[in-house]
Amino acid sequence: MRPFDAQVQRVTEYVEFMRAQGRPTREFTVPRALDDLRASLPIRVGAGANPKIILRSETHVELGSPEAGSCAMVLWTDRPSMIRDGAITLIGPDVAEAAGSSLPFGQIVLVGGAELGPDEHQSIGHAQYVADQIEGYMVRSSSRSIWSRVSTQAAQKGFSFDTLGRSLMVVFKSSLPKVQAMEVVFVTSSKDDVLRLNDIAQVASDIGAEIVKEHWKARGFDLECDLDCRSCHDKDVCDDVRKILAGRLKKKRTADAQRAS
Amino acid sequence: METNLTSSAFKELAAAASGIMNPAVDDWRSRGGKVVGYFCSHVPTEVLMAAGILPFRMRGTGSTGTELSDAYFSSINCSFPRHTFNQALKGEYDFLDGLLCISSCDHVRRVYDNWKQNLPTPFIRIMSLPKKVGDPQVAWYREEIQILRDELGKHFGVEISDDRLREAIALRNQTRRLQRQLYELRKREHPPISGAETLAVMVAGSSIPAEPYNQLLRTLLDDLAQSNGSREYRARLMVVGSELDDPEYLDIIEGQGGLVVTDSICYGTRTMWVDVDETAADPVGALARYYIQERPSCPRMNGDQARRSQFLQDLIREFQVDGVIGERMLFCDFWCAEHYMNKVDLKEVGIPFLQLDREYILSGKGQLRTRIQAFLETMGR
Amino acid sequence: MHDKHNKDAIEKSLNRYKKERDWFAFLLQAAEMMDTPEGKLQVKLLRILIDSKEKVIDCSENGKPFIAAYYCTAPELFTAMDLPWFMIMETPFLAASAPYITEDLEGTEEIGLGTDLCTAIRLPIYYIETGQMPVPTAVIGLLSPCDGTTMLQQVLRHNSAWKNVPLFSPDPPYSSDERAIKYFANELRQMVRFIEEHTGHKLDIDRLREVCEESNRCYSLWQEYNELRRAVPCPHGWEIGGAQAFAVSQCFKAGDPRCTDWFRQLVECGEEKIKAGRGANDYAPERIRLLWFDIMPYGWIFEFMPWLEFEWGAILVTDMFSNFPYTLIDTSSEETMFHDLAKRNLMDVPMIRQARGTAENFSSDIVRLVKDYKIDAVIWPGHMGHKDGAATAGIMRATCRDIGVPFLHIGLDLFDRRYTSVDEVKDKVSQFFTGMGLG
Repeated sequence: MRPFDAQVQRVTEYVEFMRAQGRPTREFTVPRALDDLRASLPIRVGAGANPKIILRSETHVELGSPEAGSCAMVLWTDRPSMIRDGAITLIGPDVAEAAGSSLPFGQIVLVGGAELGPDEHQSIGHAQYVADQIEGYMVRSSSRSIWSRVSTQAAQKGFSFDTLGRSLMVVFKSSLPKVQAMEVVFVTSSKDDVLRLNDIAQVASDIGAEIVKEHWKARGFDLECDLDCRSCHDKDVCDDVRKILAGRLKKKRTADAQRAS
Repeated sequence: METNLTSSAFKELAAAASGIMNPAVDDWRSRGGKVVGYFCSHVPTEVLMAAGILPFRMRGTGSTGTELSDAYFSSINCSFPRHTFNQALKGEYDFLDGLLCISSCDHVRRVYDNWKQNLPTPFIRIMSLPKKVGDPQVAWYREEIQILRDELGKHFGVEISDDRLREAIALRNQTRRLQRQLYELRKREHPPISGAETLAVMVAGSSIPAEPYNQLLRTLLDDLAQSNGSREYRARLMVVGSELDDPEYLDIIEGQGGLVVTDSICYGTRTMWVDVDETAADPVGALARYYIQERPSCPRMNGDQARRSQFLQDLIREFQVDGVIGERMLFCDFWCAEHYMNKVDLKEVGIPFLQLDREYILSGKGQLRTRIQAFLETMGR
Repeated sequence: MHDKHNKDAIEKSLNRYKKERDWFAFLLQAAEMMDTPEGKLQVKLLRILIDSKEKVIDCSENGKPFIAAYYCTAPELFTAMDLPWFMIMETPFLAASAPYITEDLEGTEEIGLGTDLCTAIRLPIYYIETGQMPVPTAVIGLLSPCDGTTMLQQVLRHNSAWKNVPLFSPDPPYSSDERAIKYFANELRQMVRFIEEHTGHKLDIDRLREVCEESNRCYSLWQEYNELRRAVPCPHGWEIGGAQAFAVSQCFKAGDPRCTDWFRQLVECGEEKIKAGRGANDYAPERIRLLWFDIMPYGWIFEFMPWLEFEWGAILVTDMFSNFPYTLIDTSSEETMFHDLAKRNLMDVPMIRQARGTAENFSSDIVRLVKDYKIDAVIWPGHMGHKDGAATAGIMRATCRDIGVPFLHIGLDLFDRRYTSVDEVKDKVSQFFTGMGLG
């Protein structure tokens, strides 16, 4: 299925357009295999890699604040050949060049996998919100955009957009085994350049919303339903199951405590 | 519903009101006609008519439970959408070619979402109905109607020209005039038709194509013109409320001696007391003005309570009403607060008022009879 | 008709309002005894709140202009017009746990209001009908998110004391696109003209710009604070956080430097605790991180929330009122300011956002919040007044199952403890935690 192929193409055209406009553009090519990617990183990536939040005083650079501008999207295709696996493109200044500043931030993640389909859509979309998985990098909990911070400590270790791109590849490829190819584009040149991506993002978002609706429908849910325990015919059964579970847990705890003593 | 009317026109109309499908819809469809269901009397059905579509007002008539729709609605949701949607899930509305919803109330607007996810009806839309009655709201609704017109045209492959709209408006207004003539008869000291019978006629009008319906109405009016009402009664009553489509409910009231001579309900005067302006150069604008400002409103429309109250009092005077029954469905916030105000207003003018909460499907008939008897007693009737 | 010069009527209309002010003054006294940064925050908040109430009382008693309005009718405009205002529905949110509320709840039933009408609507109607609500110079009404709020404005209009009080209610379209935002922006402009006409207070665009910039600073700090609550342990519990932040930013005086100062202190307080590795409180270490996906149970908050922390170590890390998109108000022109105020108030503010949105809002919000805030359990209270069914318990349950986090749907009244008793709620929550192996 290829709902986003046209948008992937538009991203390619956008990058070419930026290059033609004279924006400083850098390309990085990174290892494709997961283990090689991990080994190439100067920071830890994985669950709990960034256990603490990054305070304002610990911030090297802020990315994608509402004032500075932000646009993020994840586009997937079942044609991995459309994606330049391992390619990271940066349009605009890098982390080291932006100490203390607040940069506009565009992040486009392109993923390809022969078995990718609508069932993976939500997981793919959610993967970009990395929470605590990248050391020295925190995506703020803002529902509409990627608004993030790079810590001073991480910057001192050499954290760059190359690092971020690789880290995202590790996150995606390890949590989504069906992803065979991945490419990332970052834009930090100007707010206008970032907001120019909104056209593509809006189309992608509308397509995504339809996919999500169909997904829930296929699972037997409607998006506006009001399932209410009190009207559910199985409520009594549900309550009984809960009591049984509680009873079993209590027995287990008692048994564990006795064994321990 | 008990009736002494022998008019064959009435029998046909009553039959149409007693179920969902009826022979007129069957006939319409067999000739290739399309049918689009709709909720709420704020929907501009003239646009559907102009597209050559039969507008069919949604009901849960015949429903015996909500075992299917309970999975989609909460126990604190109104029983009208629950029963109606249950009927849909059972396949009773499979004949629809489309469904037109509107952001009328918190309960009914969820029918749109549930329906869209669960039923394969090809054309489903929801219109954004303003919550006020000012000129900017008329302008907004004019745009909404225009959007509807374009979408209907595209989907059903018809051109809905201004002329066709004008024709539809004229036809619909004819229906309104004929219905008003029917209500005129109820001003008599001994009306030839009861409230329950009238409701059956009005409900039928929302599920039969306009031309045959108008013809049936004319025949009925002719039949009634010659007859004198023989029903004895203790008091002349008006019923005020929302989605009441079951004549048996009024039959029970009338069985206790309270003759329902007029109303302000979703199937009653609010749908036909005023005509759409046929002289306006812009028919879409005329429809927007009618549905937002000109027709008698319901409590959904903010800022219009004084006009609604005046409307009730005008009807009370015209029909010589002795008492008012305010009915509302449980969990309806609109009518809960509206009846709260009606009670105060009617007390000021010395009109007795009784509020009855109900579920969509008639139940508790014994209790209902008792309350009506008590009401009539307190009125000294 | 409300006689502005009838001192008895004015006094009666202010009695309950003053009682509420006194209730908060009592809480202020208690807060002043707390020698902690959180205590100082509570003190500041209560002072802002009491100050706004005092202004309303002063205006009412001395015939000065003031209005009734709502948090989602662009309160920045009222600040810019230097107009004191209060929220007709504020009692259920601010004072539902006050000791005199039960009597008022019984009063709502005595005047004949259906018990299936949301308590947050019934209470203000009761106060209006019994002459216990200050009568303002003008009213800005609210027509969303639910049917009940629409009827509140109509009952208000119907009341003899309020009949001639000018009323304007911005109309919220059902759709959420650019056309809807422009329409609502126009409604806000009409609202401003209405206020100018009836109060004599004028809107100066430069002043609005200052206020919006201050509001942006407030929101920016609120966003910063929301990030701090992601820390493990969470620096604050239920007493400080979403509800207060919402009230300070939207309900008392939006775009006021005192509010920004409160947020600044809130953020500093949070940061200090995080640096010291301290949790919400020292007596109940954090064992369960909760997402409470609704407004707080104001009617019984003091009986329930401390119990959650004491009994279960369950810290309310985040809730519905804390989670909202951050719409920056672009202050470059009058048009952009009205546009962004319309967008924020139509689509972003808490409760409106959820009530207008589809269930997808809930699903994606939950996934994001659970992940970002390391949530151990999600509770959907299921308030009786939320008939619009904005939340879909089934979708939320399925979402939580997909991401492996326990989910509980209770069914209660957030303002009236008689609907589902606090003990019943505690019992359900305890069974839930035990059954899920939490705490």
